[in-house]
Amino acid sequence: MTSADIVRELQAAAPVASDALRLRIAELEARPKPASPRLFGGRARRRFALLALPAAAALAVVAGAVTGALDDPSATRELAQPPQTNEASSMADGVTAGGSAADSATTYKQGAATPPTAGARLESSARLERYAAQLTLEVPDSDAVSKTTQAAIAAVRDLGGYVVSAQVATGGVAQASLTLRVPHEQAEEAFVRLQGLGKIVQQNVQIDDLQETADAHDRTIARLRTQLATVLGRLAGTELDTVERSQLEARRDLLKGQLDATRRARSATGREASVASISLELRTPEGSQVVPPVGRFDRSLDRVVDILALEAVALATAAAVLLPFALVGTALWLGRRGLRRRVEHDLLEA
Amino acid sequence: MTIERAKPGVRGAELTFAEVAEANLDAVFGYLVYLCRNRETAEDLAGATFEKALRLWGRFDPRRGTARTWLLGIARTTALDWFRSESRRRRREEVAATTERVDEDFIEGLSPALERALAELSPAEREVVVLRVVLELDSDATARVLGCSATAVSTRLSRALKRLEERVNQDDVR
Repeated sequence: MTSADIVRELQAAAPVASDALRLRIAELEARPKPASPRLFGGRARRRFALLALPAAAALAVVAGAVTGALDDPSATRELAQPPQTNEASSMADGVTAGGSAADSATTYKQGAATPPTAGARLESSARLERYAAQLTLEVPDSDAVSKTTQAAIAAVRDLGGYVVSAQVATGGVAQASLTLRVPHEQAEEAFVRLQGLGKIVQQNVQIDDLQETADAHDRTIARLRTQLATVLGRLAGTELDTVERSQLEARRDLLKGQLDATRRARSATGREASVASISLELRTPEGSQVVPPVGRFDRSLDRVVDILALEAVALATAAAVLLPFALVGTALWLGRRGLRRRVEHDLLEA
Repeated sequence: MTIERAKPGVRGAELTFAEVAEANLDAVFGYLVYLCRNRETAEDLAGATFEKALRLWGRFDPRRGTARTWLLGIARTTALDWFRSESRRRRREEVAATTERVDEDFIEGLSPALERALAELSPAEREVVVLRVVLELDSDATARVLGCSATAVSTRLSRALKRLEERVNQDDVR
């Protein structure tokens, strides 16, 4: 008998289930229905995994686009592009030294109507503030440096301001450096006009609140005035002896001195707030590093990348935490499977 | 519950569980008869197999294989559980393997020589014979049921058929 004969005989004698078994199997479906598959069974898990990745990416894109589009850079109180130079502090010092405005500046209000700016723009409040700005502009050539310097000086003077210092160099590497002062209420207007004189390379506006200092001075002045009035009232009386009178007179002189000093400090604060300082730098294209304005699309793109990076970090962290457990679980599973196969082999080879 | 139907046990248009069970009952029963060499036990195991299959019917994915392959896989697991329990029972009772419930003619219609030769094969050899020869599964489907490679299936089948041939011819000589 050959293998082919054996195969034929085996196929011809294929076992057939009995009618009893057939009936038993047919009755199976008549029984109560089995529970539906687990919510997170194998297929559900795979579907979840297939959906989770694009969903996370879509979430990042939508969130980035929305936050990037809604984000208004002009809403920030301070906008600083390349690192702030030391001029900022030196300029702030110069405000108190060169200021000449009267104390009436303490009651100024920022003009509401100012033209739109190409770059940084800060809205001042009614509080006393120290306003300092630096602006670097690029102009085409050496002639333009000279002309723009003159235009800047004219613009500032037109607004009631003046030039503290001006340094202009033309020729090889043409550049100009101006320190300008304008009335505080004209600061925004002046800044906008200066921005229009060239291509903005760098700008920085800084506003420091001086209202608390002024309020403290006002409170001190009121207190000293009250004390002085009391002393003067007692001195006007006739029942004082010589010693008491001399003591009160000394006290009166001291209070007057303190009052004068406080009034001077209060005036200085007011002057500081009444004048804005603008530092203007002019350059030709050589050596200028133009910072392109950031559009909404770029911001959205940046946000999307940020969010995707955040998700990647979260995934990596989760993976790093879960990896040891997964390895142990896999090892246990492989060991169990190997053992089971060995047992099966022993059973079936017996 | 429905699946794709083409022809019984193969992917295709939609089929109900009852249709799938009816179409594959003989195959499952035949496999189990070959494996445990007892018709009564094979019927019990077939019943248990289809009960389990009904419970798991929601998880059956026709894209991963035919219903026949899936049912045979369940049947194998069920049979292995039975082998384990039998092994434990024998150890517990310290009874020799001769007490195993085995039918002398567990497959009707075979010549006595071939039936004896089959009985001398190991269960592992008998299951590859029934899957590849009797049920005519291809190597890949058989490998899926047995949890081994297609090459291993071919090797095991070739060895089993050779042993069968040797035993049958030896019997004929006697």
